[in-house]
Amino acid sequence: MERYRDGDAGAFDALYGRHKGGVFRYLARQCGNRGVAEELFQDVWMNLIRARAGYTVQAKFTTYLYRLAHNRLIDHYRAQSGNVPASFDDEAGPSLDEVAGARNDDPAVGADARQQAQRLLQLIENLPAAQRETFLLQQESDMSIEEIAQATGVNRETAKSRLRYAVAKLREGMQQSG
Amino acid sequence: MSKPSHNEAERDARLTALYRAAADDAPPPALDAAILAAARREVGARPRPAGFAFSRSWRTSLSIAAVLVLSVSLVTLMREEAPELVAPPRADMPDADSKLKSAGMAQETAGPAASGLMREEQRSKNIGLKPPQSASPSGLGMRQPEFAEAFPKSKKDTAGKLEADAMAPAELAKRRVEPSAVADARDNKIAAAAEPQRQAPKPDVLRDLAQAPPAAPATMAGSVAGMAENKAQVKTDPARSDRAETEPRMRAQAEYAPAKQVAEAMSAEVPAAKSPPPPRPASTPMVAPPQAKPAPLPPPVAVSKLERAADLPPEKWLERIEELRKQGRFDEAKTSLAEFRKRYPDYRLPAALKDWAKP
Repeated sequence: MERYRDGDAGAFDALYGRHKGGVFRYLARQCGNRGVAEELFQDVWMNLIRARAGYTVQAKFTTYLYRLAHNRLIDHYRAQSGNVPASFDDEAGPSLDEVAGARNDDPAVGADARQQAQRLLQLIENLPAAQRETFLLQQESDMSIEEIAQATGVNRETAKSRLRYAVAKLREGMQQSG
Repeated sequence: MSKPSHNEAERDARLTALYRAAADDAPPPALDAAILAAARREVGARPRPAGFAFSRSWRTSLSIAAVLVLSVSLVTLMREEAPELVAPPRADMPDADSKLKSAGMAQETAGPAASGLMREEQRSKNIGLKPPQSASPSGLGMRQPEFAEAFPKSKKDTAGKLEADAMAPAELAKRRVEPSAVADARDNKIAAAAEPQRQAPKPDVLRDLAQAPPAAPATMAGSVAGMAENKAQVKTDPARSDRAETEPRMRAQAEYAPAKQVAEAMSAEVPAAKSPPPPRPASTPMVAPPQAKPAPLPPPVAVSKLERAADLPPEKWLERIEELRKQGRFDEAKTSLAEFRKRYPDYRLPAALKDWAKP
């Protein structure tokens, strides 16, 4: 990004190629609408382009990029329903004991992997937005808990808790379907 | 129910594998192109065409080479045209030269001519131009060391001009700077400094002079005729000293010249005095004879004229002095001569001028 800030358009091409899929899927699964996701996706990258001149290295670029995406998503939620989903306000979340199948229940992976993948996506879609976001950020960007916390503007414990709940629910859902 | 370990909760390999298998969504290519184009626009860059890197790497070198070639050709052209650019065309000179030569003053003027050429050459050097081309110094009748001694800074081509001006080798040899000549020059400098003070005009005299008519036609005609006659005499009898002949006529011209000059000066300095003076009859005597009242010149005008004369090469300067003398503007001529001697202390003056300059 520093190279792009200094005028190297090729550096942006590389960045875009590396992150476009993850950001797009993150947005698409968070808003649940491909058309809206495309719009948000474009906005995120345009915001990045516009912020080029003032870009300073304060965190990993991935964290910076997903922070932009998260902010755009929050704006989208506010524009849609006037407020962000309740799960984003749920700092602590339910205890893990309340989550069914949160333990070592391995999701049954059937012969048809594709079917299972579709089932997983469906389960992801059913997750509370904040948990879903944390899970998606982990899967798409390979960020650590700290980086996810930074990108989503919460503390580390909240991010960790959300992720654990998300994973537990997905396991449970996969086990049930299996 | 026991809590799962943190690692297990934070990343589940099976879930990740399943998710990756399903995650094949990507933005449409049109969106990709739009975003990339926007990014390029933002930095003002364009997609590189084939061969761009090559042309870019050679652009600077080619530009420098082109500038060098242009500069060299321009300098070469200017050097070829240097004589026309640097020295004013000498087409106006032959008349004066022939006059001087026919008056038997060639020997004396050869020195000034050579020095003038040296100055021209120096000017050419200063502006990086080639000095005027002329013949080799072999025809000068002087061996190379002698020539170099006489003109330490001059080049061979200058000698050609010297030959054209028929300079005697003996005269050239004499033209070294002698201590006595330097002392003379210092005296002349002091005299020249005192001259403008002595000649400073009184305001009322200047006003009178400014109102004087430009010239009496009869007087002018007489002056011109006298000059022509004088010229003819000089031509027919070169050996003869013409001072006795020309002096009365010059005095007659002087009656006209200072008045006109001062009137010009006054009109330049006092805008109110621009209105034409009342006509006077041709027979009206002039304001004052130059001997009684030396031609008073306002110092700024005199200084500017001197400065202009100082820009000339020595031989032209001497011609200017000679002209002033012939026009009867003796004070101007003296001031100019003093300035000349200050500038060129070792310069040999023409005999007529030297005699005239003696107090």
